[in-house]
Amino acid sequence: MKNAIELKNVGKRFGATWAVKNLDLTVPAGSIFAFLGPNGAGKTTTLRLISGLLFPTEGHITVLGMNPLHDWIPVRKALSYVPDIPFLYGKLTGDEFLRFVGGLHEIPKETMNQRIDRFVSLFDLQQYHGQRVESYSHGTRQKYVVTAALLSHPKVLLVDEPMVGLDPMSGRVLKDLFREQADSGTSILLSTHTLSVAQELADFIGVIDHGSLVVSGSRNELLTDTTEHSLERLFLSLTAREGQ
Amino acid sequence: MIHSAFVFFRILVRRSRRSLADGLSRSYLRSLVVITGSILLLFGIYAGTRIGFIALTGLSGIAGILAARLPGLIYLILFGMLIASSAVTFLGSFFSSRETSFLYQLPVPKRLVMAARWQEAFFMSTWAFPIIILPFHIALCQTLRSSFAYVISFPVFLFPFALLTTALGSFVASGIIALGPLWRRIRLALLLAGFAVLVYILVSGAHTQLRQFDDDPVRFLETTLSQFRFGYSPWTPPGWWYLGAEAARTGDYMVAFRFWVMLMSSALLSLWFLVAIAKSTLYRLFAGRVESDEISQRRFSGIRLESLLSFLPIQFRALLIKDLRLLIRDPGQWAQSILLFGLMGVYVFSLKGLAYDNLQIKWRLIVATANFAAVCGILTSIGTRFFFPLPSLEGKMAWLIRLAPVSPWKTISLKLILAVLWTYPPAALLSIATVVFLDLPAGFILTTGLNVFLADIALMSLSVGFGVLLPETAQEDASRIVSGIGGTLALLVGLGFVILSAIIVTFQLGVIPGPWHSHTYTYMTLLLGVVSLAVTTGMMYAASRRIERMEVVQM
Repeated sequence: MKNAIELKNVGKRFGATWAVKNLDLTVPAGSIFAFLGPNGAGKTTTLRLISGLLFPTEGHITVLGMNPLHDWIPVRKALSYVPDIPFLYGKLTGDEFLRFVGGLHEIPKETMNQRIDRFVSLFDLQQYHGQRVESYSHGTRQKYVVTAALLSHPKVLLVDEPMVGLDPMSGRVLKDLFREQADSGTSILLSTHTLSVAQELADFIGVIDHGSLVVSGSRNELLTDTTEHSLERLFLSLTAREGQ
Repeated sequence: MIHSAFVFFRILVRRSRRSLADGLSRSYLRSLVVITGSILLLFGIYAGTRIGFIALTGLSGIAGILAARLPGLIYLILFGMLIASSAVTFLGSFFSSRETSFLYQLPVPKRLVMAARWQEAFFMSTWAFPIIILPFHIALCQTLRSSFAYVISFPVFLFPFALLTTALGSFVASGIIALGPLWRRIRLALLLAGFAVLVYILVSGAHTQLRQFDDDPVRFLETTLSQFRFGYSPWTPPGWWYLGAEAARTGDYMVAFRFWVMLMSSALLSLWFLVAIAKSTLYRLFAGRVESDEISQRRFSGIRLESLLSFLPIQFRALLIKDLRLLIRDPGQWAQSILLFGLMGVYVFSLKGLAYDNLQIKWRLIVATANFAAVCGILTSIGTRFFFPLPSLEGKMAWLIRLAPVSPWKTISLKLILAVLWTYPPAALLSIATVVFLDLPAGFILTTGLNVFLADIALMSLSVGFGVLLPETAQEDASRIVSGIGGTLALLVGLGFVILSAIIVTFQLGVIPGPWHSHTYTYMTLLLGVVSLAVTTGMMYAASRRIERMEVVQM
């Protein structure tokens, strides 16, 4: 299995603080990689480094064998990103926003219409579609960001805390969608605090703490039993602070 | 209540201080360059104006006209611009701001919330104008050897003048909100009416029914400046300032004080009225606006714009439509666009009343050059107001553009194309109208059209470029973005470019003949083209490099 994402000895420093340090990470193609860690561990920074939104202070990053900072267009054609806080253009309607993103990815009109119709129906967005984004709740914005990310049918999908603000029904739809995407060849790097999602969806799991990878491997390797709380036990044992 | 008002004021001061400190902490070198550049540019404006005044006063009789008429014209322009600026800022800081909803939930009187938003609008809409006007005022005072009383009359009269114009601007903004959906039709009707008037003037031949007078530049200048009666009338605020400052100049301090009192009392009366209606009318308008926004959002806008522009490449179309929608859906944009071009339209219209038949071609060319500079000045203002904030408004959405498979050069060029498409047609129309009024040869229409185009792309690239290079990404309100250091610098550099291009056009049109006269036109046209191209490509290159190297930390 080829790797979709590779990070070698990557570090990122903000002022005097290293948010990520000596990070080595590989995400195999067509898999779902759950990226776990406590608050401030460096998950979001890692995702932004891979996407090219941030530049590494040291180390090397490749996405599908390309450098996100040098191979500007090809990487961006292949990659989609779902941020943790869904900031969108408030003055556009949901429909206009999706067509804008579709236009940037040069998706033909017919294909775009089909995909938009499907996602709008899946996430039950019909009643919001003509309203401006500024009136949306966090959950509705999240659904639109996910839809926008999936619209171009990316080869690599970076997702930061996708379940925040979503109702249980939409959460289920989203998990099914991620599995469907992975089965069709998309590599997904999923940062989450929701351990049940990671345990249910992930093919591979990595735990990051203090900017470095603490453990990484396939789900079967890491979870010795398949009970509901096995991942929680592993996570807590790896990230427990002194005195806790 | 006084305590609450003080709390709001302290918040405003603290926010401004932190904003300045943030700017400095990001890069001392950049801040130093910005501040030094601004000072140098202000000095450049002062020097250019001073040289111009000295040249003009070389002509006998001009100094008296300048002293008698020019200040009134400046106060009139300031009056219009301050009202427009305040209206746009108040729309943003009061009616469109999310903070207003939050403030209305606080246990403070409703009129206090309005007052807090108003004082912010006052500071943000006025601070840059006095700085820009000041070099002109100092140059004029020095040229006319004015008394000290006249020099200091500027800040003394400016304060009540700014208070009054901000109050009037707030009324304009409230009127726009009160009109609600009707405003959309009215603004379109205003635009169409303005266009119709211009076309009528052009085709009716009204400009040929001119009064006659001899070739007398002094009388000509006197007649031109006296067209703007509103600036000298004892019944108007600019007139009060003008007459008060004139009285101070001649040592009649009681009369000066009387006009100052008129200005101050009008300002305070307007403010009192604004506070009085704050609870009943303004709060109702604000609540109604929020409600109507929610209703209007339910309209499904469909994909008509996409169909209309389907001939464009798909990425280009997506970016253009997005920017167009964001631009049009900002209530301040249309209003000020109409106001600025409307003011210019009124100016052009007033030119038809002048007599040019017996006027030497040289004087017609001076008017043509002045008109070119005026149009460019308005373009600078529009560029700074509308297109400078666009990159900053992307702010927290910058991740979307950064991750799109579109090159930074394409992204930035598209913003420039949008700005030129938006501004060039009305600017060219107004400039060409003045050429027709001045009965200049037909070839001048092409020259004017070309000059305005070259200046327009350079000015818009300055606005868009500075918008990328010095963004205010923490702000979501366009009027606040414009009021920052980047917006002011964009305006100042734009004005510097206007002065430079006006000088080139002066030689191009042969107003000041050079030793190489037979080729002057070609050389100067080429020079304007080269300067414009250099500014445009330089700014676009710097902006696209900045996007490439920009880290998106804040989301």
